[in-house]
Amino acid sequence: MIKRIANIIVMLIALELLMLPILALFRCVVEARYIPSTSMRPALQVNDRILLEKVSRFTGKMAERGAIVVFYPPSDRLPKNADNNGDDGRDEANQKWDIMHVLGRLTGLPIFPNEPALVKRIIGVAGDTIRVVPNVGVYVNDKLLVEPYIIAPANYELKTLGDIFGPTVAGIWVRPYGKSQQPIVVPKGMIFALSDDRNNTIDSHIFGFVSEKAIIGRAWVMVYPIQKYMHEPYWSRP
Amino acid sequence: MQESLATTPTTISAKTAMSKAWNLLQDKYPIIILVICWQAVRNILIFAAILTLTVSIPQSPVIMLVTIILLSAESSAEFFWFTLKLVRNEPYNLFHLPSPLAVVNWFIATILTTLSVNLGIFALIIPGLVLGVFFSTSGYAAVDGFGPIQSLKVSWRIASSAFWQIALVFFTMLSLMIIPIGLTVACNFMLVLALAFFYTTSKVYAESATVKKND
Repeated sequence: MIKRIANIIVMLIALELLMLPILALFRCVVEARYIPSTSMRPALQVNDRILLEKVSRFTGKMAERGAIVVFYPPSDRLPKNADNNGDDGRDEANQKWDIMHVLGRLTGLPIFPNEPALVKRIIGVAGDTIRVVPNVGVYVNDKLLVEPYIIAPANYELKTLGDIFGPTVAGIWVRPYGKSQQPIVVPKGMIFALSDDRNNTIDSHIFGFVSEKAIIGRAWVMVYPIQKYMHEPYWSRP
Repeated sequence: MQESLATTPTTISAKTAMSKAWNLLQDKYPIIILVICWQAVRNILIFAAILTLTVSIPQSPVIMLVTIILLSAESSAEFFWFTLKLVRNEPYNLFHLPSPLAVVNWFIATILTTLSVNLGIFALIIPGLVLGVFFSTSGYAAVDGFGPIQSLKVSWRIASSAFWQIALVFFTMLSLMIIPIGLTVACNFMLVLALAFFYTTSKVYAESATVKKND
């Protein structure tokens, strides 16, 4: 009798566990995300539901200028060398690697802990020089970006790596590149991402460059409240 | 001949169907898991390949929606077909697929069943549940070579002769599925297998009856 019950339990567990790798495999292709904050308004608003695609990684189009991406924020730890030129190896994402967090990342099930992720628009890719002029706009490679999707231009100035500082998601004050006077040039394998609501948010103007490896996916379709394809660069809400 | 088979009543009770389904599930669950995994992995890879090709065009959400519907239809029809093979103890291999016509028949029969059940639910719920029982074996008939309308007729006739037995299995399993104790998948398999037994026993009985009649 005990053996029979044990067999039944093993069978049920096997049937249920079978769902985990299938779910994880599907999340390698598409992932649903809920927008809890106003940092990307007006393009994305609180309660919006979007689908991210992850296949652009295979075609090399994940980090494209103007694309909206979701990524894990960089680690709050100080860089190895605060006086370097920006290529400081600060590509470590703020992720935990215990089994529960890994399962949470793989399956997205609410029974596992889920780490915070940020949704931002890519402004600069590897090799781009970024400059922000207060109340004017963002210059990429000395060309002013035309940005119909923002509410108002940034009210802060970014000229050098030393201008990148502020409180992170965890509330820790960081100045990732110290007082470096080097221009802001995006290193290889990194992106510079800003929110559409430039003045009330935590983005690359505070935590600096983000590793391409930390990108979870690129916004593909908004499914609620409107159904809209949003994969094209510089997409704005209709 | 198929029409005459369908008119033959089901001979097994709800208890027998459940017990046979349970025993089969215990005996064959490794192959059931293998088939489900294979179908899921194959579909996800096809989905990923099509998404990679179409992601940069604005029509990609519609293309992917159609892809999901077609893949789901194929997989479900294939699973019904696989279940029939299990119940009849016939050989099965992962790369042996049902014919495209069977998949189309299954798809149309399922759409007709879903529409009629939803209309029934709209008319104060009970008619929808009753129609659900009447059309519960139509999927098996569709993958077994019947046309979509004929499948609904076959299912109706099987349920007419064993309504309460099928209803008991149907609602017991559906009730267990909504209990959040992780039995959803197992109950789903149990229901699919038990209904397959209702369908096949009806046909087996009919075949033997036809043979006797011919003798």
